[in-house]
Amino acid sequence: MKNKTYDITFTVNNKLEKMTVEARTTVLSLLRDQLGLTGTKEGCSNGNCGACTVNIDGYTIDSCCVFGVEIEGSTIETIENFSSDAKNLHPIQESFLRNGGLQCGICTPGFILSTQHLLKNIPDPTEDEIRLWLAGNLCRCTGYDKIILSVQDIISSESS
Amino acid sequence: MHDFDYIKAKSIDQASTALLDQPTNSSILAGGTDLVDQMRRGVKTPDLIVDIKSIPELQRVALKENALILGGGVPVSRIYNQQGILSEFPGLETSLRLIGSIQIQNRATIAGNIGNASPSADLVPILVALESKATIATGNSKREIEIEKLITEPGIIATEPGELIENINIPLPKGKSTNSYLRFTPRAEMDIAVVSLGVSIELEPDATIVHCKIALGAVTPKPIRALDAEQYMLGKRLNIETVKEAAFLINQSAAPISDIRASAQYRLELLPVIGERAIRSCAINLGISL
Repeated sequence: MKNKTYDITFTVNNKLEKMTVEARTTVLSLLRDQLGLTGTKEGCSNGNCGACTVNIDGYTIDSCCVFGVEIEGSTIETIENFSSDAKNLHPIQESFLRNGGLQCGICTPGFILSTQHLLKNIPDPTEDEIRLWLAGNLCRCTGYDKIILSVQDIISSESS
Repeated sequence: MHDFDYIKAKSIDQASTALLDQPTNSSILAGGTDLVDQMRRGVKTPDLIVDIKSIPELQRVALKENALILGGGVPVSRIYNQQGILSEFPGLETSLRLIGSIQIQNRATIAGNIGNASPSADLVPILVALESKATIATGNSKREIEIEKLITEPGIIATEPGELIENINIPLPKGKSTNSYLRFTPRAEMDIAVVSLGVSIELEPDATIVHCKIALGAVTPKPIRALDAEQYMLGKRLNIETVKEAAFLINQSAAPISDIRASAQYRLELLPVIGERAIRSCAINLGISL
């Protein structure tokens, strides 16, 4: 027996999208495979690594653990809403680049979304707070110190 | 992943009816942080998913005169983000902030953490120590059950098809009282408890213990209270001797297994240490130096 499909409407990066999905399509798959927004990465696919982090209605969420049918009416922000112009990067992107907060780059979109969420909630976080808020994003390259430095540098750049 | 049908329920009645129409192979979807992964791995293959996040009653968070009411479908970060709501519940706040990552806390729900009935669930020991009850609802009935009795074995809770966890009802602590939750994990974050422990305690002005509940996590298949330790503490002054003896007695109630996270022996070594620290943390909350 064929299962139903579902019509959903939601906003991604300020653009209204309407599409038809199967219930089993995750938000991660919908963004990457149907909308071509491949900046959001697939890592562990079980809610541990944070590579698929997007912002849904103001909260960072692992998009591999959410079905597309659940986000009817939601507002989503992905890494594509930051900047793709190397000369005019978002301050968080700029700081990660300046401080070597990335190497292979697979985890970076997730880290940037989590950093944005952190700074919106705690504008001047301590190192412990930064480590706690970024604990749901795994990086196998940097050893984290330069990521922490990148976040701290955004704060000091903005306050100076 | 296999395909399935999906219903976004707008009321308890609608969810309950949908679940009863397909009682053998349907799943309730709350935050989905465990369910979606289980479905991807083929551990669960429901034909129907009933999403309960849009049911208004399940989104309720209210601090009443004598109880804190937490809707089953509320993501855990929405609870600790509400200023002042957890001021009487430091142990509950600790446990909410330890579940998964920020991303998981932004999605995972109270009812999901209980409904999954994992022996290492972070919310369960503290909710049991606080003598919390779950309101279990269908379209036309409601009943209350202690969290301690709701979870019957790993992965199993005592609900009938069509029943939902509408909310958790946590009695407000009385008098000079406090609570704490402590777990041991090899890593600070993003890890699962090897042993965990919730304590709720009430003292007379002279520090005599008049009420004490200690609940254990990850050392028994279902929630259990450390009754020997509780009994020992009642009527005693909260001092270092009481704490040390009570911590020693906690192991009488534990029946740990050896698994990928730790051996049973290691858990029994850890439990009194975590127990002592959790009770000490209650003393600190009450301004008592041991």
